[in-house]
Amino acid sequence: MASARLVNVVASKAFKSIQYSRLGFLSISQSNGSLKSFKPHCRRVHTTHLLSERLFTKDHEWISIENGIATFGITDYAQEKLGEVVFCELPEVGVECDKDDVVAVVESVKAASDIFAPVSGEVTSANEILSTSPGIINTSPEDEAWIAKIKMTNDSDKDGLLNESDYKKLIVSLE
Amino acid sequence: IKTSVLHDFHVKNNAKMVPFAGWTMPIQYKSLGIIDSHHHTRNKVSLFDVSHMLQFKVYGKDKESFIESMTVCDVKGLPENGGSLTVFTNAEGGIMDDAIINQTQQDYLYCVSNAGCSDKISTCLRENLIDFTAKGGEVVLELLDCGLLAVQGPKMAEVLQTGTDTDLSKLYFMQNVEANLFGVDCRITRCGYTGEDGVEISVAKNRAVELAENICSHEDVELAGLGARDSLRLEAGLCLYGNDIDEMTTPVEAGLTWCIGKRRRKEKNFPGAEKIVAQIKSKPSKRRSGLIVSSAIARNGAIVQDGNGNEIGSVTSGCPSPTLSANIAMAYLPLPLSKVGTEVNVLVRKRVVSAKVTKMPFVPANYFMNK
Repeated sequence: MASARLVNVVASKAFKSIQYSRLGFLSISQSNGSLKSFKPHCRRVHTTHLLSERLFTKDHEWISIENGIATFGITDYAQEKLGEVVFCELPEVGVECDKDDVVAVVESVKAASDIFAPVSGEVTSANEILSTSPGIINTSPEDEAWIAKIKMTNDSDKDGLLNESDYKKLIVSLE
Repeated sequence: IKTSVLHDFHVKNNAKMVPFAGWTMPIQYKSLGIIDSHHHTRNKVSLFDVSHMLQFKVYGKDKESFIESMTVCDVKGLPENGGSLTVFTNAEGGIMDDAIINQTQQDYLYCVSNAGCSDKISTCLRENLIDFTAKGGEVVLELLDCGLLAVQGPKMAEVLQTGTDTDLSKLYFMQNVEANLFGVDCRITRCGYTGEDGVEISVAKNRAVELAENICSHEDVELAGLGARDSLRLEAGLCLYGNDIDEMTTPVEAGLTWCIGKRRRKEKNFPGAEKIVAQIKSKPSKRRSGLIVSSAIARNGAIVQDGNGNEIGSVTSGCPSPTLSANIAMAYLPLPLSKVGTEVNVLVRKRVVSAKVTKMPFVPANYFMNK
């Protein structure tokens, strides 16, 4: 079957040169307290995301939680591994899901990859732009290409998620 | 894991390498996505490294009979310098591998078969060789260890003609010639796996990189990998061994009856001949068919259903077609339901998606035929 978890997407030595630097990290200029904005490849960070720490799953999803709503998508590392995204199957709004249920599918030319719900809850919205322009997942995976929003039923679900530094370590260990 | 003679060349050109059939090969190159690479091949010309494929030569006065003893090919009927697609069959009439057998002007047969079956076919060749020579046949087998480059696309002849005195306008589809290309001796066969006009070039390992670099220096040439190779061949309606054909499918079911020489059908002197010839007469129960799938990408393993929800087959290959902007697939369907225009359903992740049986090739071929 072509459907596969993102963690099983083929990795190889050729990838090693690009990932780590690409993910970058949030940088706040200490001297005047303003956000030092920069645009590393694919990663524009909005001010709102500063307020809620961004979290990650070992399946290469990013999650941003605010007021009990978790917005998620796939990471830059994931889109790089997948290759060109040609199709995205979004969850239906109103659907209840448990953490780790398959909630969406992202398809590249070669294979379909399951996306797992990072938290349990109800899907409150799905990013319709991805139906017509799935390629945004490649160009803006951690910003414009959010996949869906889930109203969390279990606040402690976020305890199992990785912080940015642990996720970066995970990626390094995979290379 | 085996590496191609062009491995360092691939890495230098920013290839994304993946494991395939026991080799590490490029799936694409960083500069060009799979879809763009696909379009480039149909519009201009691409260079693929296919050195992982099995190449072999057969010498001796009984070389044609030897290959005929394992395949459905009319080898004796091949024109001088001409070749044909054929299949190696097993005792049940199933396909062991597909291959191209070429008659040459150099008193040997030059053959190419799939990387995924190289151990199986090498063993088959060696075992049959022992039997054949024991019965007095004169044959010598040589498994080659050299590079193979595929140059495919409408601009292939224009690009390669600049590097050779051999008149490519006289080398027609399925013909082969020994040539000197950009100063490198090689064998050029006008064939390929994309549906476009193209060649496959067999070259000594120690000159392969030099030849690849010479070809790539032309501005119209882009490197292409297995990703584009797969979508191109699927649009061309060509089978991938292991997906669309295997030991359990007969050439008749696969729509490859045309590969079986008329004389061979009469003589029935290939493995599984009784079953295959009977199937040609009585028609097979299922047939490889093309599908256009409406709103999802159907891939290998997806179940095909009739309008009443009954399972009638499964998809063997499928992908989004860059040329058609549609989702295409191949599946074996019961003969009555394999007629062009038949509407069926495909299960994609438990969702029922409609599909229609379509003529193959999905995209017309551009082979350089002798009119």
